[in-house]
Amino acid sequence: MIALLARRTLAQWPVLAALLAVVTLGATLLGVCALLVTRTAPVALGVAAQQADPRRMSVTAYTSTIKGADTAAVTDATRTVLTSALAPFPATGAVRASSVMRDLPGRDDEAKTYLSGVEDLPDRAALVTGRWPRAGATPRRAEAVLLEPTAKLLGLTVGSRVRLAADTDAEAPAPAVELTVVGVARPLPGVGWDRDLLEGAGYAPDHNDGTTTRDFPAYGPFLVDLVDLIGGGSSLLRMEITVRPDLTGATPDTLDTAADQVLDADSRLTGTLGDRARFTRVASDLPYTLISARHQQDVTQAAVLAVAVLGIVLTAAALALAGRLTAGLRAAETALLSAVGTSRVQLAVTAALEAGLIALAAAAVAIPGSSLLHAALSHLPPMSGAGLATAPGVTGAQILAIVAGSFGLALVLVLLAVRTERPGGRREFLARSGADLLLVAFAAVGWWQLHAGRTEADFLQVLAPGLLLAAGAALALRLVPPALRLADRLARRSESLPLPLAAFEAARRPQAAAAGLLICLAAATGTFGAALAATWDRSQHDQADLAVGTDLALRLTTPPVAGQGAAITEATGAAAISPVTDRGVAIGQWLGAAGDTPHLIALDTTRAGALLRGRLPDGADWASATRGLAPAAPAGGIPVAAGATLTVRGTATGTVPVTVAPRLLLQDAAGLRTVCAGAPVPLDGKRRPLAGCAPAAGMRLVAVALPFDYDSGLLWQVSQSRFTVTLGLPGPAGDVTGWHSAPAQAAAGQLAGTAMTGSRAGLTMTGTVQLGGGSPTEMTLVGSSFEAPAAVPVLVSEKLADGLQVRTGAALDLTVGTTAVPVRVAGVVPAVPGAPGAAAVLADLDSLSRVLTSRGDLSYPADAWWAGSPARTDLAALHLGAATTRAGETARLTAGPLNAGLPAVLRLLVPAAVLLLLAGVILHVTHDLRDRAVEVARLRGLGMTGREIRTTLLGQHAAILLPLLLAGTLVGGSGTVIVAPLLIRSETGATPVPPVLPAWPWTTELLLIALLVAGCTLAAGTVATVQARRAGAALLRVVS
Amino acid sequence: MRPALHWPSIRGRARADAGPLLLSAVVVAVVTFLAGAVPVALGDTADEAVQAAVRQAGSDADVQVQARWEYDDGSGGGRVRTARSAEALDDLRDRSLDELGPLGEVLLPPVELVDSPYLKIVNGAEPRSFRIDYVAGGSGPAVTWVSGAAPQPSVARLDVEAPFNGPPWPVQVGVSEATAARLGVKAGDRLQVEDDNRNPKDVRVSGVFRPTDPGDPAWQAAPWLLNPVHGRDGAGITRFGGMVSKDSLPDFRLAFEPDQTNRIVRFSPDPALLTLDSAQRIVSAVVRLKATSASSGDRSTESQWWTQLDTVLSDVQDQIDAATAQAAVLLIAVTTVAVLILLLAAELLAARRSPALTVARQRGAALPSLGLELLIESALVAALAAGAGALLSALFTGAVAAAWTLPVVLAGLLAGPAFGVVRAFRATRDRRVPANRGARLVARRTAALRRLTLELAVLAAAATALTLLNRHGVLPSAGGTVLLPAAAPALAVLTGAALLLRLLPLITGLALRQALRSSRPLAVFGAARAASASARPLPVLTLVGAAALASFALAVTSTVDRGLTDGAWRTVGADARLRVASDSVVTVPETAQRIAATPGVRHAVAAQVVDVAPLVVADAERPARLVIVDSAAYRALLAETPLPALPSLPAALSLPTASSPAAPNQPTASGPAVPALVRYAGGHVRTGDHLKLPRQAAPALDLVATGIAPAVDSSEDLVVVDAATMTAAGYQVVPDTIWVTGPGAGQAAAAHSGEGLVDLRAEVEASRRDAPLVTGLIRLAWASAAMLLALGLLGFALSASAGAPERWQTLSRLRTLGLRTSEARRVAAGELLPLALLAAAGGPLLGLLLIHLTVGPLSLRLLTAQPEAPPLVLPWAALTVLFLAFPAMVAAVVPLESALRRRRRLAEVLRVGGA
Repeated sequence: MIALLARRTLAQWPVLAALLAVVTLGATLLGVCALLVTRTAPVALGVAAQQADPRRMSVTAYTSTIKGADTAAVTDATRTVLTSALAPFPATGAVRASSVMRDLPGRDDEAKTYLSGVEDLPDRAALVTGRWPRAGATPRRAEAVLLEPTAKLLGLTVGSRVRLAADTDAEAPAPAVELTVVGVARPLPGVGWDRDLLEGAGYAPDHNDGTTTRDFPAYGPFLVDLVDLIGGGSSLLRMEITVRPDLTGATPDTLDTAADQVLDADSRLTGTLGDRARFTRVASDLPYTLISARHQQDVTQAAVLAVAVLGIVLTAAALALAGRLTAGLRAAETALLSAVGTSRVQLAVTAALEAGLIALAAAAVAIPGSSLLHAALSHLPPMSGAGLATAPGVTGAQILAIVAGSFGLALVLVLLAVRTERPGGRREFLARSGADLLLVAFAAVGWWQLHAGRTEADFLQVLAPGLLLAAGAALALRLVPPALRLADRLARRSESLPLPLAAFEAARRPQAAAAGLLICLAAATGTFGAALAATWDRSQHDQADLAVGTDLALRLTTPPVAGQGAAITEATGAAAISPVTDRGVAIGQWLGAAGDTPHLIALDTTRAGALLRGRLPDGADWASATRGLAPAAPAGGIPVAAGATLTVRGTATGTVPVTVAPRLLLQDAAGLRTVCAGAPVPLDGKRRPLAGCAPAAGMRLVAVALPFDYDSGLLWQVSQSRFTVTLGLPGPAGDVTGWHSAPAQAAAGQLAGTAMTGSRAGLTMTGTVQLGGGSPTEMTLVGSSFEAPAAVPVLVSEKLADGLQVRTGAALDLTVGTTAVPVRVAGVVPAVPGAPGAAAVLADLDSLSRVLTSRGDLSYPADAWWAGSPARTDLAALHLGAATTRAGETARLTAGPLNAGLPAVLRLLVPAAVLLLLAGVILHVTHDLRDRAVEVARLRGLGMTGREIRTTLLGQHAAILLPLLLAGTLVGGSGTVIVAPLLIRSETGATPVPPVLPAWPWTTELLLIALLVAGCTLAAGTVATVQARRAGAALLRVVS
Repeated sequence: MRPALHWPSIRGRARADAGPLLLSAVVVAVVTFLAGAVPVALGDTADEAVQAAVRQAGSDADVQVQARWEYDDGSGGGRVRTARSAEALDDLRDRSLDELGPLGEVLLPPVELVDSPYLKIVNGAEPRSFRIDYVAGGSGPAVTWVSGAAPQPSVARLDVEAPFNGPPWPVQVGVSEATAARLGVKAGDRLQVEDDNRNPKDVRVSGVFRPTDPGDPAWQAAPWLLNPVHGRDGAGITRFGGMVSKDSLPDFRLAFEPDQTNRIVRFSPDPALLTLDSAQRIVSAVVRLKATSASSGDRSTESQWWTQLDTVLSDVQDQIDAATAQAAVLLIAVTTVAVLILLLAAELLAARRSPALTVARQRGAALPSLGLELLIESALVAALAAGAGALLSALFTGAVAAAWTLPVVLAGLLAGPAFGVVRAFRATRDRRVPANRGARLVARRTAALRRLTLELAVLAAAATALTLLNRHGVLPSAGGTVLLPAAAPALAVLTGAALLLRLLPLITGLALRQALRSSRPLAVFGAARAASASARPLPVLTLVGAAALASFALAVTSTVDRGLTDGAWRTVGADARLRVASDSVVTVPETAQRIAATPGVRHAVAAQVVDVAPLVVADAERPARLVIVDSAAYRALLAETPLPALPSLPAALSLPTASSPAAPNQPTASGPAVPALVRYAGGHVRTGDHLKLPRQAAPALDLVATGIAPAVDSSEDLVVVDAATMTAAGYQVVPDTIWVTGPGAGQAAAAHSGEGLVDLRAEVEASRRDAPLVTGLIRLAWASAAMLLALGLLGFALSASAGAPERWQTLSRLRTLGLRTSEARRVAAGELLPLALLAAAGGPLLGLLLIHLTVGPLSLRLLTAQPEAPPLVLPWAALTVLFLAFPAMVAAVVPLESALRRRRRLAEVLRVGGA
């Protein structure tokens, strides 16, 4: 038997080589997919963790009210809990601690101060004078640095000494300490000063630390070295330790360990500290970041596996064809073997042995082949860009997949070899068994399951594309025989010989359509693969566009300051920028469904075309969609030169002294409005300066609010007070015709007879205020250079419109900050840029600010800056906050470590489909060559010319191959429309927003089809030529 | 070409086969009724569930509208007393009713309310708070004044202006008898109350009232007006209430700052009017109201709408979705078996008609004509039967779920014609059997291939459905389709039945071979008949399917039943539980003794239950429920309940490792370690671990986990320690909970309800059992089980009668050879028995395997209110009935058949060419 095998192998090596090639190709594809899932995925998770925002991967412990004696122990214990939670990753921590409030010496206003220790102080503040503090010889004599405002207000300079007396409070004792000021510093924005007791302001007139009910002025902090603070024995009010892990070399297992430990760290810290701290909490986004990364990876892996299934189905079809042809080739020798007495078992053993050897050889080639191919893929974009480049390697899962795959495919060979029926019966296996109809049924179930939209990856989702394409191809095959019979009938009318002969052959010879399944399926897979790649890419772009909403979004961590816009324009070189409101709001009393807060996006809609990104239906653009949202004319305003000092002077009648704390709203060149709040001034006729309102050039005063106040302790009965307040401007007031004034709440009736006049000296507002009763807003007079609309016109997202059943024209109430803003729905858009999938509202920021101002709320709700078409995107130097770019988000979604697997494997699928198809065609036509040699010779004998024979053969193959290619393309196309949009999920596994539009890349597809047609033509043409040439009398003689 | 119909044939055939036709009709009618009625009934149950949820939610389900008062600033700088305040409130009510639109139809008449902020009653030792409320309902809460009079205006001139910065404005209130008694006030007294900022308020009692109807819904808006309420303003604080009248309402406003009181109109939904459909509409209407209402920051007098009704309704919607999915599992099972029965009936019918159809075909009837004739007949039967079923369903439930009846009606409609046409076609087709062996082989193989493909398809579908069910559960909340996972049991049973179908010929063949070797001819006859009958697929599929799905449904009922009982046991912990309020804990040991002495009480065990004990394990805080109890007594109590037994707790352990040297800063634990049984859901604490219980002003108490605490409690993390050991370790044990068992437990505990909160297990269980969705599903499961069993038995009768003519012809022929009647019966029984035994044994086994696989994913714990999936409970009694039913059918069918055919003459039987 072995001898037979060896000899047969020698004799039929091209056939066996073809079988081996097909099995190897399939196994290699499987191996690459296995490597992508088992080898790349863990690396990708590690890379994603390393690339994640460090703030999301850090762990912070918050503790409060720690007694002086415990501070050192608590600090160490907390640090230990945090670093051990992040084990096995090395972690570095930074401590920020503040002492309890201490009495400031030599003051009679109960002013207090506090000490702070910040571990990496030079990174968080800029030194103005002096030097950074060093740990003193004894903590009782410590060196300190002050923030600029504190030093200025307390009149301290480098070298000053301050002695804080001991505090003997039993709850929070603190020993006396002698502080020497060694420097003055300025806090840097965006580095955590918001968690300072005074938020880095250095001074608060009415601070409350929660220990007493009374407010007191607070100054500070005295920034000392952490060693001095901890060692000094002072009780701590707050301490936070932030630990950042170094995730180099992270693997899914180590990340999981760390995530579990971080989740448990809270109870560990509470247990460790016991009653040594009043409040303990460990906060970290690390576990949730990892969970969402895993989710995203699952989504990608499901898609990769779906592609692997496609590849396997295709390989199995190719192998079935090759096996059938081989069995046909060996029909005579099998018959001979049977005749000489070989039993069926012996035949089966021989076939199994041969198939097993083929499988082994294929596995032996496919294991290194797939490793190399995977490594090569990983060195090509998008995987190389995502940091996933790996050296060739072998994994257990890969070997298992390859061996299982090749032996599974070999089993197909054995089954084909041992069946006793004549190969190529009247009907194909699929049609004969009814399996094609069942395939269609299962494909429908798969589609139904995909359509129902489950967030978690599902094995039906993995199988669905393969099922659908296979079902489509099988159905197409059912249609081929009747189509060919029709062609035969039509061709009979022709008067020439070659054409009817070709049609006759195509229609009558059962094996003519043998390669049908493979050709149809390969064409379908190839076109579907190319279209899926295009659709996926387009969807990721769409998602990125809508998620960022603009080209560059800079989320501010500190309130915006005037002139920031110019700095951003300069840093980015953007064509258009706008301050943006981007926050959750309540609509009426509605806070959204299940934690899905309605979102408000407001920006300068006059530049919407240049700023907003995201797909709109029917080619509409954002500029026209947002038309009508912005006020008709820009706010005028009075120019205020940079650094100019304004003044305020006022008089009020009556016995009760009235004060006003003027608030000015100024707009800079970039459209950003900032509030300049003055200290309360008594209306006593004196002129008082309002400094620092215009820090940048090109600012204009656009509104003024005058909230009147009085000491209610002096008021015995309700009285009226006539007031006149003049806002002195550095230059002439100019044209104030557009200006007008009105009470913030006219209905309250607290203010009456208000009027505003402009003169060279400035703006003068007069009226009567009623003292007694009334809330602060009711006693606020607002003067502005613009008309505020009655309601802000807004666009709402479809989700909001559907959820609330509102249509164009509906009136709603938004709560922005603490102020209710009436809005009117001017239109509905599919989604609002920057808030995909949310119930969102898009408004013009100028309109919004005008309405807010008219209601006495001068605060400008800017949370971010958006920039259109920036030339540069690195804004780290500005220290303003985190910037997100559309290009970056697109790159993350299309080529990020967690997503790059899909485009990579799709890149593999299309060539594999082409190769298998061409291999199938070549096998098919060569087999035909052997089969028909005698027949062609007879035709030749009948007198047909070589040319006519060529035409006949070419026509016959064309009649079969071209319709099959066409049918395959149609199946691929319908697969793209039906299943591709369902197959593509967002990174959370949900349906992507905006919805996926199937893309059919015409160029690629046409090239692909042309390649396939050319390949088929070449194969058929060569065979026809060879056949026509070879046909001779010799053949006739031998066989007959 | 129009098919020619032969009406006499149609009539004749129908008359001849009236019996089987009637049977199909009955099956179609009954299953149409069930499938059509159950979803509707479930819809009604869902309505009840919605109503129950809204009732349970109480004031959370209320729709409330709130608006500020109009400005009341006077010209003199003070505030004008607005005499028409009550009318302003009415205005708001009327305006709100308009805004409500269609929502108003499902809401009860509104209650108008003005509520004061928190006031503190100054004198007195216990913390007490006071509220002043104005309440007005549709007819107003009517009261009788026991003493004094209704509150009057506190000034003579009604539109006087209250001076700014004046003294507190006096306001008259009426108090209920209970309040007057508890506060010790009478008409004319001034209450010593002050607000949050310690500003005193001038509140005078004008009179003491008694409500005419304490059940008036208006009182629900402020129940403290009738009786003091405990705990509403914080732990330990009792809230009292004083009612103002329409006349003193303006004074009430002036007594507070303008922002402190608001106009409130409260609409309670009328549960009786709510349905699932209206709930959906209400949710969207409520969302719309909320969104279009003025925001909280608004300072105007616009209405602000507020309600949790949408949350309540969407929560109950989730429960209904779950119940619907669970019901779908059972309905699909019943429908599957019903369709199989109809196929079986159609096959029987076709077999009976085979000669007639063949003759008709031979005489030139075209297949389409025959098909149409049969279709007319089956359409008539199916329409009548489905109509009757639908009518019944409509009569009982008021509607028909048409979609669910579709499979059965279609099967009834199409099965008969399809089988008939196929028979006629096969009997008369002109294609010859191929002469060549290869071609015959191909034909045979094609048939085998098709069967295999079909079986593989069912297997694949079942595997898919089971995988989906196991991975994602039956609930629709995970997304995806509901029907596919819900069909998993039915598909899996079909797969199993197909497997048994493959096995049965092997078994009968084996039996035949054995019988051939034996010397008993009867066994040979029986086995031969059985072997030839075993290849028919439909009877096996139907019987095995029905038996398997019936046992599945039975196992669901028994599991849910036991789960409900166990759940109630775990919730209460005994027959009754008394949780004593903090002020009477000192008497707990005495109370326990007294309860224990009550007749009918077996055990009464007192324990201290700390719900969240701050235990520390290895430097990590692991809070758990700590139960400190006399372990011996508790063990004895648990031993008599279905709850798991309490493992033994050793005496205090002196372990040198009690204090961990690793944490020197920890207060070292004192004395020997107290043994504890622990159960932590997260698996953080294992046997042998040390637990520290921190104490005030004392070193932490050291506990050591010596065993696993039994699941006697609904909490996730539980630690049980012995009270005596704790006392010995220096912990002061203050029992606050008493568990009581015994038939008189409920009464005994209820007698002490004044001292605390009493929970009765029987009540808890009854309330859970009576929940509409639970009752509905249990009933459905029982009905499905009964229906499936009935269908199975019917299927058996059908398959027996399908084989009857042939069987009895053979037997009659054998009788000519000397077979006695009783022997013939035994041979007939031998033929029928394999099928019956297969159904009786294979079916339940399959069903139990299935329930074992799916009990978790079916989410039955939603019904049983248990913390985890209920353990599988097998209904042995019902399964025995199921097991005996099919052999019993054999015993019943054979004599019947024999009796029916006894009258036939032998000559008739022996005539060639017909039965």
